[in-house]
Amino acid sequence: MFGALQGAVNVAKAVTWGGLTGYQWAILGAALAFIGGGMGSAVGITYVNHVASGILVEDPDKFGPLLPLIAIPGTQGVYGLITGILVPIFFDLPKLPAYQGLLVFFACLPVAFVCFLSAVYQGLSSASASGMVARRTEEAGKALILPALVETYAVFALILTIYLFTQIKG
Amino acid sequence: MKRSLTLFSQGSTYGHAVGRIMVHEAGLLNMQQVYRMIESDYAEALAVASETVYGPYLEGAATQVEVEEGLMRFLANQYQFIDRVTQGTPVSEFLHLKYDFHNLKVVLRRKYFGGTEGEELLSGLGSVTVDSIEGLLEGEGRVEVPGYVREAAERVSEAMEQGEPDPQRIDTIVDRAFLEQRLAVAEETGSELLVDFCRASIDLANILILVRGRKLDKGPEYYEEALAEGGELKRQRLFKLEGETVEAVAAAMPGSRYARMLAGMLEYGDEATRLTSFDRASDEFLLEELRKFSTVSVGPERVVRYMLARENEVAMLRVIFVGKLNALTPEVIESRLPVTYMREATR
Repeated sequence: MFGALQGAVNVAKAVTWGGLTGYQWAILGAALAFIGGGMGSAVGITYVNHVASGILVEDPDKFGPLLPLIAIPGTQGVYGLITGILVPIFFDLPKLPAYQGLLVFFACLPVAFVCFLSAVYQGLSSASASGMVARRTEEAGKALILPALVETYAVFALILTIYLFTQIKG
Repeated sequence: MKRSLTLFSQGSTYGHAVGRIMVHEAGLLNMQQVYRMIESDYAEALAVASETVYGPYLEGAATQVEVEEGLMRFLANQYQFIDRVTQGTPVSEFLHLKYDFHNLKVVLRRKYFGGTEGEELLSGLGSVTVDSIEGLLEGEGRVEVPGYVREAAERVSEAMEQGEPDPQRIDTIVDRAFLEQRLAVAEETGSELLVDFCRASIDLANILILVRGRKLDKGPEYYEEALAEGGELKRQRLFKLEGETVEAVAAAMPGSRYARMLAGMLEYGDEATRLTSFDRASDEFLLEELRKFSTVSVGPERVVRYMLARENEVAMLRVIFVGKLNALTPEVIESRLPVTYMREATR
């Protein structure tokens, strides 16, 4: 029992964990959150862009209704950016203990992974939904709802990450 | 992971083409338009068609020949559009193959049996011109034709030189070459559904060869020549069923996806009815395979599905307008519409 407590105290006092300081762990988490969200958004937008450009060649008037569908996978990149910026805002990075830096790193992972995958799949579903707009422009509202459902999980990931930041900062 | 990567590579390869096709899909005929054409007289049906993309092609058409020409012109324009948007991908070749092999068949028949049979069927929808095919068969040196046309023509000429010339053999050899080449092109597209569809077509054609072979009392050389490779049912396994009854063929493949179809065939005692029932069941089966294409939003399947829908429409309009010109009743015209149309109508 005493040994376990002593171990926990040692971890709390440690300047580095796994060879990285708290500062470094936190920055790694922030970077990963942005990399995940940004890469997912880039892939998702590219995917829907291929389809949208084809539609626009045939019917340039559909640019307006298609724009939200093209832009929506881009939001995950914004969530990644928000996470990346919140890390230095929430925490005093140079003084961050190793265990806290590690916790910040883990707290960033929901955004990093969920935003990456959701942006990619949102690109796929936006491309499918573009077909609705291609056929009937007036269906643009309904078409946007389908990929917007995928967005929910990226929002949940961001909420969870921010909530964990507040708990870590506690 | 591999599936996701395929999905994305298909997106970048076919995304633009699919986007353009999505807009054209809006111009596909709807059931109301079709019914209005069926129920009206010829002039009114033309007026309905003029509200659609077919309008400019059928304008002023007063005879069967003019209707045919208009519809073929429309189809040719559609193929040009597909060729343009899918440039550099194998899907365009996939779609043209049936016309290439059809033209080859017609020209070969003409070469070996004379006459002008099928002249009106020679279409400009193939990727190889009829002149090139004729040049190849006449032995002209520098004729540019794809390898698959050359190979099929060589196989036919060998067969014609060896045995008794028979138009049926030309069909058998060219059909086999078509099925095998189409599978090879489908594999190039990387689409599992297209490959599946081609494999099913090969299997069904092979089963039909077994059944017909027995009926016509064919020897082993017929099966060697006719059975296509690449299906789920391996050729070696099919060779063992040479000359077997339909019951034996059905019993030999209980676990296959064709088992139900074969069992349905056995419900009829008479051989001719069995063949008709199998033909119909094959069409239905392949139609169901095609229906799976609608689950793909971006990919070669969408291109193929669009062109098949257009071809189906053209076939349907031909029946309607030629029926109207021959004063057929709406009921008779409806009964003659392609099976694909009837299935859509009842869904």
